[in-house]
Amino acid sequence: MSAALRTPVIAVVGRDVPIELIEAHGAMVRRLELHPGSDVAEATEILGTGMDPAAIAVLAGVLETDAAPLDAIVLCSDSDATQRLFFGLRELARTKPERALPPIHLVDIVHLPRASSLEYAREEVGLLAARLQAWTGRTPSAADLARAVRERDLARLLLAEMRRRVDGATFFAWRSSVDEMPAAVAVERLRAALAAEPDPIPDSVPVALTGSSQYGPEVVAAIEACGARVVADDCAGGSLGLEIGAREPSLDGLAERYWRDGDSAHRGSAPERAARLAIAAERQGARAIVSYARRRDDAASWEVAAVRSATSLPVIVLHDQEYGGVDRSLLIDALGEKGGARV
Amino acid sequence: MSDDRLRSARDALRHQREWFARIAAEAAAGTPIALVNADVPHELFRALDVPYVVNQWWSSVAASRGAAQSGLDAVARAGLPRDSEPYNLIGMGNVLNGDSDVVPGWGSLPRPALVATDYTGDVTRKLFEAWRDVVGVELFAFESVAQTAPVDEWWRFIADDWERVVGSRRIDLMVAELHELRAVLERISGRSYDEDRLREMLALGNEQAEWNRRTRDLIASARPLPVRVNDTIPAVMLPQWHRGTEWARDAARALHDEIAERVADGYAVVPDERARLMWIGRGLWFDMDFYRHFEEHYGAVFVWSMYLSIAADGYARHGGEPLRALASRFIGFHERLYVAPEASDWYVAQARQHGVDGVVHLVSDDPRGGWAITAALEKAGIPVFVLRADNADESTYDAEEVRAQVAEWLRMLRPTGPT
Ligand code: SF4
Ligand code: SF4
Repeated sequence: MSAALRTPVIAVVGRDVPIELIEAHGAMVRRLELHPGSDVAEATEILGTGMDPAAIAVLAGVLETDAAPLDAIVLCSDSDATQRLFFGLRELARTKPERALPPIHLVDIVHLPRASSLEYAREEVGLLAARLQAWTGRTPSAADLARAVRERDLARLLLAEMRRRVDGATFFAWRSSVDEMPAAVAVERLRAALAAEPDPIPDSVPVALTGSSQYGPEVVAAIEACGARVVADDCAGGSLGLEIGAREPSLDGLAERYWRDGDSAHRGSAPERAARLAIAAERQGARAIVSYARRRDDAASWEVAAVRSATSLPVIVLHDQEYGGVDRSLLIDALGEKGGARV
Repeated sequence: MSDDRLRSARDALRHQREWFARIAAEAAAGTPIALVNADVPHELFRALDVPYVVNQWWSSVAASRGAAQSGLDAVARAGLPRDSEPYNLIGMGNVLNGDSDVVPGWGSLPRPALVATDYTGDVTRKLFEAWRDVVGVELFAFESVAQTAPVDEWWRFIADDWERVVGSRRIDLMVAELHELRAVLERISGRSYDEDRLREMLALGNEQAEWNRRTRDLIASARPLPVRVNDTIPAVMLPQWHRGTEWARDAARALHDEIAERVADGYAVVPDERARLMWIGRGLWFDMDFYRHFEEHYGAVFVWSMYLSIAADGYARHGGEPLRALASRFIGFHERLYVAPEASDWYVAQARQHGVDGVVHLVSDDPRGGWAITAALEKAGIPVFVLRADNADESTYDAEEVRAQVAEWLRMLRPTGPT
């Protein structure tokens, strides 16, 4: 099947991949994220047992499903795990051509606040554009690109508004599906949803969530099932960076946007993140902060002290969690004690 | 075993003590010093007269002299995770404790005026930001960017053709960072940058690398093995932290000459050498007699050390502008040591050069994994014993059982050999 006859599908991993650029090339974005519980034996063999299990699950998904419908996979360096996943896939493609993996690419966006880092990010976005052109056979006009950038910025702003209106699981479900929708469709649906009456607020403890990335509602839903309501977060895959827009709708503007959007648990500064989280938590009426981290995803443990000193709210630490899992009894007890919950 | 220790190792250690005592005295008198990670371009610090202590070196000293726990306790009291990367954390804890953390025979780690690291991984970055945010020390950080188009047989070309092997874009990025670091170091030391001085240091570093290369080649070709690899580690590593000085170059030459002497004298670690093995991975620190056990009972020697071989293959950079050459020396170490295919191809080439009969590959619960390295060695026809051990956790390690398995593997390796 030639690329001209159908819409190319480009898979992405991590938060540093400029999905606007994929859309500008007329391709669909698919976020590679597996649901807990699939067979991870081979992926674990390849990536080792010392990795964030989310990356192992993504690789398991690539190995298990028929990757053929994917035209390419774009990864980034938003965390050690995503970058190691790139290296693992690269080696697998090199040594096992019979697996017919789609082409892969690393867009290595860096974030230090220096001109040289911005320049490097700019070159990386340029290289990604060249690869996308080769994969899709399309060259977007400046107007195509500008539209994709503006619409995606708008979709993110609407998501930020949504964040203030709904519970955590609903928000994270929106958040992960919006990346995979054409931005114009996402804008239309988000507007319609925002125009509807807000859901009644359930009787549960409002909390702010920080820690590991969450590209989907499963973990947030499990946290909420313990009697919490996630009203704010600074997670990769969540509301982090939603309000950062491109200063100009061009390749350079896009590169600058992604260079600036580096405040994840893995790449950002702990006290700055903690200060922002504390403000968001307070604004949204959170009564506690939940720091959730998967096993082998250590960045969050380095932020707990900063969070504690940035806020007077109690901090509930749920670290070393199995992929997709939540230590329910620990959380329920902590919510009862610290959040004054009736659960 | 003490009488067969290398003279060069003892000399390097004596020099290291004298050097550290001098630094500590200077720091006490008000000279600003730096604490740097192993992967940052030390030569620029030296060229600007900012004395530096290497974080990993200090950790090894503190850990071997019982000062690790009090350091880690201080880290934990600051609310930071003590077990996320303990080996890189000890110095921070020792500085938090100040003069109360005295390492016997060495003294205290002075509080640095500057810390520097590259931003590899998630934890190293957080850890050095804690130096800034919790300890209150100025931080200089380098980006760490990835090589996406690996170069075949990098070790053959990197010394001369480094611009291509390392990649111009990555070098441009680090050179821009080095210009910023240079301004920071000028401010701290009050000295100004002198390109000729850096050029001389690079040349001395190249000479040191050349001696290390000869030493490695000598050990690889000698039969029987003339020196335990563990004995070469301090003799190679301590001078590496003084790269760019005449002392370091001379120390590398002295190590070479001492081993050459042993070869000429026919010295053997194990006179009846029956198997040559390569160890890949961290040291098995909770089973220190492992190597000795296989020497004594199976005539098996471990002939290869990553420390010597990377010092031999990884550091020389000839020609070019000094700051570009320096940048190219430090970019991509991680990939050449741990990421396939650069790392795995190098391990295969090293196994062949050293004529090993097999490889014991320690795969632990750390993020590097080992799949690609094992696969590459096996594809090259080199037998591999994968030893799975989480070296953070001694309780899961059964020394008897592991030794029995390795012994069984050795028997299969050399059916006519050890019995
Ligand atoms: S020998 Fe060198 S690399 Fe090994 S721990 Fe000591 S200082 Fe570090
Ligand atoms: S590892 Fe053990 S047996 Fe080998 S040299 Fe060191 S102390 Fe001796």
